[in-house]
Parts: sequence; C-alpha cells; structure tokens
Amino acid sequence: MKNFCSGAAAAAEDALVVRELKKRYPHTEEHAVNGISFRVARGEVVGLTGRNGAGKSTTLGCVTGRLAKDSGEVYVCGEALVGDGRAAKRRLGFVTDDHAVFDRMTGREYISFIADVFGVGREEREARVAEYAALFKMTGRLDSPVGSYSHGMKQKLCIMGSLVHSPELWILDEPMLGLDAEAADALCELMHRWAAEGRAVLFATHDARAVERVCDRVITLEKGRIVLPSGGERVCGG
Amino acid sequence: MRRLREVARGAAILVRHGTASELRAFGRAPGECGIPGKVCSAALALFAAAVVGMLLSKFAAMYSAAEVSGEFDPTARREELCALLFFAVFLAGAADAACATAERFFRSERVRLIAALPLSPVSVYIGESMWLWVRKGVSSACALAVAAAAVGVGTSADESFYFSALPVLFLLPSAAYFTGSLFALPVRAVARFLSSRPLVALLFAVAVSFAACALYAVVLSAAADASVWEGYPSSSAAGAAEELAEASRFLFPGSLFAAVTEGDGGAAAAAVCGTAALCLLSCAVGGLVTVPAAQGRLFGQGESGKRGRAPSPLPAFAALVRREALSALRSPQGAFGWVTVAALMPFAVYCCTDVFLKPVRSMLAADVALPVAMFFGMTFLALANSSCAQACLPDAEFMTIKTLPLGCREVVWAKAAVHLLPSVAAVAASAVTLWCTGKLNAADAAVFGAVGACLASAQAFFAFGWGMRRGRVGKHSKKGGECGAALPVAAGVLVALALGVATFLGGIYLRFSEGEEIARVFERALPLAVAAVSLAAASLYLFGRLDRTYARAGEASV
Repeated sequence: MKNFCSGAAAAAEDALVVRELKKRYPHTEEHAVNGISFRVARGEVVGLTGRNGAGKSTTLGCVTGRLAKDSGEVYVCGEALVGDGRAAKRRLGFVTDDHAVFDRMTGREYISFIADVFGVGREEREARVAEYAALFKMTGRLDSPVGSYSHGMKQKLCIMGSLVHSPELWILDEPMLGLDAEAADALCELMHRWAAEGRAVLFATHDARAVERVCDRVITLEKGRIVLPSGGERVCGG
Repeated sequence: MRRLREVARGAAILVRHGTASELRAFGRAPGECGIPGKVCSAALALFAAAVVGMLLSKFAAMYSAAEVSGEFDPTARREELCALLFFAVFLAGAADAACATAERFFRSERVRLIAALPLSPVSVYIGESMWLWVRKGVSSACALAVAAAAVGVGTSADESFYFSALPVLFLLPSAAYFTGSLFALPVRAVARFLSSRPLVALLFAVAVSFAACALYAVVLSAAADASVWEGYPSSSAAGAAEELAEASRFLFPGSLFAAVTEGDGGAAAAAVCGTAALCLLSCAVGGLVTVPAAQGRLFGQGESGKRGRAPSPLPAFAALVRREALSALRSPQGAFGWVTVAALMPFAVYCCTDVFLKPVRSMLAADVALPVAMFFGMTFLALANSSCAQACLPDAEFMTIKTLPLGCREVVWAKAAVHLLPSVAAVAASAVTLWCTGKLNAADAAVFGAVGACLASAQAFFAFGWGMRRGRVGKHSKKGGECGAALPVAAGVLVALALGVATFLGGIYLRFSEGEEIARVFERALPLAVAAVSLAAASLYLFGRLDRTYARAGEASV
C-alpha cells in the first residue's frame, strides 16, 4: 500500500493529485463523483475501474478540464487545474473514449494541430509521428481523412495525438476499445515504457486483463466514491 | 405470398420503431430541442407563406386577365400557371427527396444498424423511407396548398377547382418523392466525389448558387415588371404571357397535375397510375440497389487530395483558425455557406435592391435606396451567417478542444475569425457594389457596411453563446444537429426584417411629415443604433462569465 500524500510539496512531486473532487451533472440529484481523493506518482501506471456509471469518465473529465468540477482540487505535476487550467493541461495528454478526433482533417493534419497547440517543433513532431505510426501500423493511413477511419484507427490516432507533445501525465479513457490484439499489446508496452521513463499513466478501463498486465495500482469507484480498500487504493500486480 | 407477408412484417416493425423515434425526437426536453427556435421558424414560415400567397394571388389575377394569341381565356391561363407552379414544386420535392434519401441510407448510423438485421432489403427500404416520405410529402403539400389557394383566389376559381386540387396535394408530393428517391445513389456518388475535392466542390457550389441567384433575379425582375401590368396591359406583358403559355406545355408532370385541377378525368387516372408505378419502382430500386449499396458500404469516405506532406508548424491560435477553416470548407454545407456568403451576397443584394427600387421609387418619388438596401442586405446576411450557429455546439470535437491548453477566448475568437470573415467581407463587398453601381452614395454605403458588420458580429456572438449553453448534442455526434441553429438564425432574420421595415416605414413617414433631411438622418441613425445595441447585448451574452460558460459547456446531457 502506498501512502496517500497531501500538501503542496507532494502535489509538486506527484504527476496527479486529486483532493475531495465532487461533480454533479445538471438536472441530476446524485453526485457523479462524490468527494474522491487520490494521487498518481511519477513512474506509476494506475488503473481506474468500476461498473458502468461509477464515475470513471467523469473523474477523468474533471481531471483533464473536459468537465468543470463542482469542488475539490486537481494538480497536474504541481500545476493547479483552475481557471482555464492551461499550465496543468500542458502537462497532460488525454485519450477520450468517444474517438473525438476531427473527421474533416487528415490524420497528419490532426496530429499537426495538436502539436501546434502544444508548441512542438517540426523535427520533434515528425520523429514522434514516425515512431508511433510505425508502432500502431498507421504509416500509410495518415494522409486519409479521419472520417474514413475505422473505430480502431481513430483510437490509434487519438493515442498518437495524445503523445505528440510527450506529456508527463498520460490519461486514457477505455483505451483498449476497438484496438486489435497487436495494437493493444503495443499500447500496454507503451504505457509501461511511459511510466518507466519517470512519467505517469492513469487509465479507466473495464478490461480486467489489461489491469492485471499493466497497472501498478488500481482505484475502484462505485457510485462516485472510492471503495477499495479504505483509503482508496489497492496495490495490484506490478 | 409468404415472402410478401415477410416483407410487410419487416417494414411494419421498422415503421413502428421509426414512429416511436420520431415522436421521442419531437417531444424532447425543452432545454435540449429548441422549442423557441421551432416556434420562431414556424412563425417565419407562416409569414413567408402569407407574403408569397398574396403576391402569387395578385400575379394570378393579372396573368389570367392577359390575352394570349388574341384570346381571353382565364381557365387556360390558370392551368398554365398551375403547370408552372406544380413543375417547380415537383422539381424541388424530387431534389430534396434525392438528397434526403441519400443522407438517410448512406450516412445514418440507424440505417447501418438496421441494415445488419435479418430483414429483406425491401423491408428496410420501405420501413426507413416511410417517415421520410411523410415529412417531405407534408412540406410539399403545404407549399402546393398555398400555391393552389393563391391561384384559385387570384383567378376567382369555383369550388370544383379546389375540390380537384385536393388529390394533387397527395399525388404530386408522392410522385416527386418517389422520383427523387430513385436518384439517391447518383446523389451519393456526386457528394462523395465532391467531398474529396474541395476545390471542385467550391466551384460546383458557386455555379449552382449563381444559377439559383440568376433565376431568382429573373423571377424578381418579372415580378417588378408585372407590377406595372395592372391596369396597363402592354405588348411586353402579352409577349411574356405568350412565352409562359408556350413553356407550360412542356412542363411535364406539372402540366398533367394542372389538368387534374381542371377536372380532366383522364389526367387524374394517369396521375394516379403514374404515382403508383413510381412507388413500386422506388421500392424495387430501393430494395435492389440502394439498401444493398448501403449494406455493402460501396461508398466510403473520400480521400483527401493532399498527401504525404505535414502542414507547417503554426502558433496555437493560427492552428485553431486553420482547423476551424478546414472543418468549414471540407463540409459540403460549410463550403456552400462560405461561397454563398462571400461570393453571392453582394450579387443578391444588388439584384433585389435594383428590382425593388424601381417600383418603390416610382410610387413614392423619393430616394429610399438605403432602407431598401438595408432590408435586403441584413436579411441575406442573417440567413447566410447561419454557419456561426453550428460552430459552437458542444459536440465531441468541441469537448476535445476543451482538454487542450487553450483559453476560452482563443477558441471563441478563432471561430469568430473563420465564421465572421466571409460575412464581414460580403457586407463590405455589398456596400462597395451598391456604391459603385450608384444605388448608394459613399456615406450611405459606409453606414450599410458598419451596420452589416455589427449585426453579423452580434448574430455570431449570440449563436456562439447560445451554442455553448445548450446540452451536449450527442456523445458521438461530430457536427451537432439542426436543433442548435434554429433560434440564432431566426432571431437574426427577425431583427433584420424588423430593422428593415422600421427604417423603411419610419423614413417614409418622416419624409412626408418632417422633411427629407430629418428622414435621411433617421434612416442612418436607427440602423446604427440598433446594430450597436445588438452588438453590445450579444457581446455581453457571450463574454459575460465566458470562463464559466465554456467550462460548463456540454454537460447538460453527458
């Protein structure tokens, strides 16, 4: 069991610190996320699991700025996610669960757009695109419109886009969805490598096999609260 | 017989399911479906129908009094006019049906799911076409009813005309729908071809739009000329009537349905048999060609023309602008909207102002160019600016942008730059065109430009703010839906219409009561004041608490 850490110093050391996060959607009575706290240290791969509607995607949405939190604190590599949260968002890369890449751009244009937003130089981006395209067997498809991609290919493109700026915290929502076995293996390898290089990975999944293979720790949510074990974290495998 | 029963059973299941979906879609929660937008749209449609009906009725009265080949025959004139109108409704209905069928069978997720079920293609086609046919049929029937009633009133037709027109309200829209549905596959092929060639698509859109505008200008010009006919039948009027009478003979099937309204039994039988045959043909083609093509995914997305070259690195804001522009230009509606705004608005404003200034000047003997230009310019602008209304809907792409390290103002200004640029350029071009052609003097042209730029910005800001406050359109929806667009467009059109009418009427009143100078000051001051207030209100609506609105955008129905 790793100790939950608190305080500004810990916030700066850890890749992600979440404190008393609460989120309730409009027109609903119950909180989707109800006061959860956890942290993700550098070098860790942490899995977020739970049944449908447990609050996994909402938690990731609040952590990435996709959704506005009602209360609580979120620090990404010591940067607080407040206001437009630009400094915090610069440190993370996010793979959504709905393949929300831009249909009317080509794959290469999409990645270039993300690289432009993060200010990645031409040489770096080209090297990274070449590396990840080879890894996910996308080299020949990057100049086709994203609208013509299958779900799996969109997922691969999302993953490539989320890594083009080499984020310190990599957050993925259901990353295995739609991936073939080979690509799923490559993704697991990549997550391990990311953590081994001193960065961190947080991902939500239903895939027990992926949890067993990849995670250093697992956080299980139920009805917006962390349930296993008390204190909120369970060490697993790793 | 057993197979027929199976087809009917499958179609009935799909129709029942489709009906439930339609009813659910109609009765959505008020926060999500834009009831005010629908009410505004319905009010505008009724207003437009009333205006068109009155004009048409007046024209029918004048036309039926014209002599063709030296003969005075109101019944023949009514039949010719009906043939012309019915042909126009048939063409529009068929084109709309072709596009809607292509969209339904080749783009809809629902059909992709249903096509995988163990149902015969004919069942799938009938089941999925039924509501499309009902919707298109009702809208065409409404247009026909207005046209037939206007012609009947204008030509003082007896009740037998209205009685005979009733079956036409059902038969003609059905025939148009079934004819159009036969062309779903070619339409899809053309759309696919154009989607992968943005430049060709733009040229195509320009050509189609210019053709439509030229036709519109001819119709308006004819209407303006016709206003001179009344009480003064001229040789040119008689000549135009003869040309129309000659042309109406070739406007099949408009001429066939026109004959039905005049009580021709043979024509009625032919119309019924023809429509039934088209129905069967449509089902056969749908079952044998359209649905199998959709199931086989014969037509995927097109390929981009640009290959293998990474775009040059850009600063974040420029990258946002480029993304927005690519998204707009690569969607058929977006490209068409841009072209309509940038290239055609000056032409349309000039034509309409020119056509309407003739009779208005002759009636009032006063220079009312600015109010007339303002009326048309701002109305076209409000309609053409509708792409803004779609730009800020919190769809999946918008939600992705929220996770990037970008400020909300950057995101909004990038959208404004892309979606407002053509509008503002079109307003400037319209002002220059009106000035160069002598319709407006330099000061009036400057006022026109300033008012247009302010109103375009106000409409866009209101649309952005409205879009962000709406519920999320759908988790997997990439480009929103029509729900979010109705209110900003309707509001823009209403402001433009109200401003145009108030300026025009107020100017005339002041011209006769207070004198020319006061009237001219009023005609400049009122639009400028309304535009400034609109812009201030819309800016407040959008930028007031923008951080919070942006952060909360898209949460209502996650």
